[in-house]
Amino acid sequence: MDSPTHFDVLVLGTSLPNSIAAAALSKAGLTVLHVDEKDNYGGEHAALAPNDFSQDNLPPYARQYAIQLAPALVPAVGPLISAVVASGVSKYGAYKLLDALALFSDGEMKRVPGSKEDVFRATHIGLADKHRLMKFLLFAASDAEVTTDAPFAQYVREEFGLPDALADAVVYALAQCADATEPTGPALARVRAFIRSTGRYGNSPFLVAHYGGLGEIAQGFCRTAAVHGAVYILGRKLVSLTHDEKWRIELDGVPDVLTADVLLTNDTDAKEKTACLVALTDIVPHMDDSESSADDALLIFPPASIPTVVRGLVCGARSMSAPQGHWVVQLFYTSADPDPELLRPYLTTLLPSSQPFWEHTFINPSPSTSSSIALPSAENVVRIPREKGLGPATLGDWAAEAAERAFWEVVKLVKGEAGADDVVWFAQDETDEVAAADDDEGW
Amino acid sequence: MHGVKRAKQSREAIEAKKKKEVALLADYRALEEDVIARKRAGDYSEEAFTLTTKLLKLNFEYYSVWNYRRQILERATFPNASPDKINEVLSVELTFTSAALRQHPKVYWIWNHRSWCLEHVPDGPSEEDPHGWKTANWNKELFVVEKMLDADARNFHAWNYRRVVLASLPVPRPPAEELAYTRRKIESNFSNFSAWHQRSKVFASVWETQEPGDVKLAKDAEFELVKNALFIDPNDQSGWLYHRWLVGDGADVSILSREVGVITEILEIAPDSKWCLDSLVHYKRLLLRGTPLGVDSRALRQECTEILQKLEEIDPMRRRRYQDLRREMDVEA
Repeated sequence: MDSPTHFDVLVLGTSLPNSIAAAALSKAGLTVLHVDEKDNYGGEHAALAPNDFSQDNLPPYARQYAIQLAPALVPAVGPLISAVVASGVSKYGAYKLLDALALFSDGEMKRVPGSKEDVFRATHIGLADKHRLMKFLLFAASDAEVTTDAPFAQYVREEFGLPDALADAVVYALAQCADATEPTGPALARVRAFIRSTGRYGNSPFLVAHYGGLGEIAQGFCRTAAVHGAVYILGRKLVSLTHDEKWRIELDGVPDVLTADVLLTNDTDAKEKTACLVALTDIVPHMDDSESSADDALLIFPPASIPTVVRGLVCGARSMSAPQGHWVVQLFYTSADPDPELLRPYLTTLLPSSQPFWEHTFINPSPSTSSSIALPSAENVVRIPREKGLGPATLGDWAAEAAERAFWEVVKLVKGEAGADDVVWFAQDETDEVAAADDDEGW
Repeated sequence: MHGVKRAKQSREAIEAKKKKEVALLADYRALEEDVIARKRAGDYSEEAFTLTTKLLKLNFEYYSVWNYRRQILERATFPNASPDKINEVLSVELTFTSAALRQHPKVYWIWNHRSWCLEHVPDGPSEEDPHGWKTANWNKELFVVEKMLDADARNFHAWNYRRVVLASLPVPRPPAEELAYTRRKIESNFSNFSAWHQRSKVFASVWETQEPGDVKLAKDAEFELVKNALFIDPNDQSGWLYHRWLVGDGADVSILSREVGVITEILEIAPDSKWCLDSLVHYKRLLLRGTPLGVDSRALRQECTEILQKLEEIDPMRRRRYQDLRREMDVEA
């Protein structure tokens, strides 16, 4: 039985957009060869264990910790969750609602109110300010158009009279702005998306994917692709990649030259990178308003010693990110040339009275996560472009949208414009239920 | 369901649906004829019972068939059956209705049948524990109602039924638990008449026998709770109605004046809030009626007139009512 050596499309790298596209292409009936030089799925969005960073001072049960190369959440409404559900990848994983979203303000982490329920329950906001915040939330949730040149941080203060603490909560936590200069239009759109996601699965707009966020989801999409016939080759070094009527790829240890009509890959020019400081602890960072304890949280530090927002993603056992009683704390920020050492004071602020039992730093994407070979310039290649300014709330949805755009480009190259009419992006026949890890039993 | 828009349908979809319905209707009519004929003939067989199940699944609102079903149980199934058997049969009935309620949470007759079943649970399981089955069933009932209210916290049938269940529990729950439950529902979404209403019912019964000092403390706490809601959304009626209930006839002038102050504060940050203005008129009139010493009647009357004029402007659909109120006030002067 000969295995195939020619494919419709060759996908390089198993990062999230590439994996989503591979699954969609496979499901649409195209033959797919999906290659990654690394041993693991996920590329620059992979979920790794401490062992993958260093063999020194490994904690016991090291493989039970999930460290996200690109820490991110899944918005409850958006292209990513829709793709997860429509593709059936939801079967392969589990999700839980994010427990807390908090902003560092006046020396402590304070939970940010993002819904009418949150505003009602909040005990540290004056009634007049609650009214103003609610008025803003209702406005943001509506379809009202706003044209202003003012940066968002200024807009919320002037138009809605929000005091500094609340304005910062809106700007940095709800709108996920990186700094005070970000424009109003896109920021307001992000707040709208935030509000529309709240309530779908519970009182938080974000889901945490078990076992390591986007990396686990990427793996799920690869599995779907394989189920529909995609061929996977991981962990083989790329020996050569040429184009002569079709794409020809040689991999170390694979005897055949494999060919494909179309190549799908990524734009490697990373204009910005994320520096991350990971710490494993046995104490969850303290938040105020803590009558209910959070097992996971997105913590936001407004710009300060680092002039852009610094975020912290904390995940514990309930999202299968750590053994019981332990947490993975990841502090990160994005810039053209970030330095993870600058994050140390932030870690001390979060965990003033305890020492992590394991720490590491990394910068993502690193040269090691992108392909080692330069691409020949040729036709029949689709490159997924990079986007700047993505964060934990926006990266996943960007990946799904970029995957869909790439999907259609590949389909048109393989089948022609007319042929593309018969093709569907993840036919919408699945029922729209995502398994949440702590779903109640039926009655 | 609240807040869920109707989905539009294409003409093709509507026509296809109609064709399907004609066929189903014929089947339904045949089944109905059969069941009603048997009912009239006094047929209490197992076959008849099965047919009632089939018909009810097609139309849970057919109350005569529910009646028939109960007749079969009472006249054929229960007589000569052991308490164990009766309890078992009723458990099956309860499962049947709970499945029905998931799809039809607002059909009175399903709730009615459940009540009937629960009321007919026999004493048991033993002489030493005569309330065992009843307690288990009523507790499960409370759990069912809570799940329904989790799915839709504004289903007044469920709230109504909740009151029936609480009243039927062999060991009554302490009012504090019910107050905590309504508080949770209000916190998760205070736009909920039923939750506030339930709270008022619990308090009304509790305050009958409490010391006036304790009542005042509790009332003040309630005023704080509803104030939170009013500030956050002055357009939400449920909070205002609860507030009116708390103020009552306005006999306590200090509370009345204090609340007028609170509403005036809300008005400052929400100057076009119709409910604020309407409530101010209502409460100021209550103050006027009391006319205790120290209340400046002329000033109050003037304030009411100004507010009513403003209301005519911002709520022109109801201007006749505001004009009417002004006339009433002139007469009272």
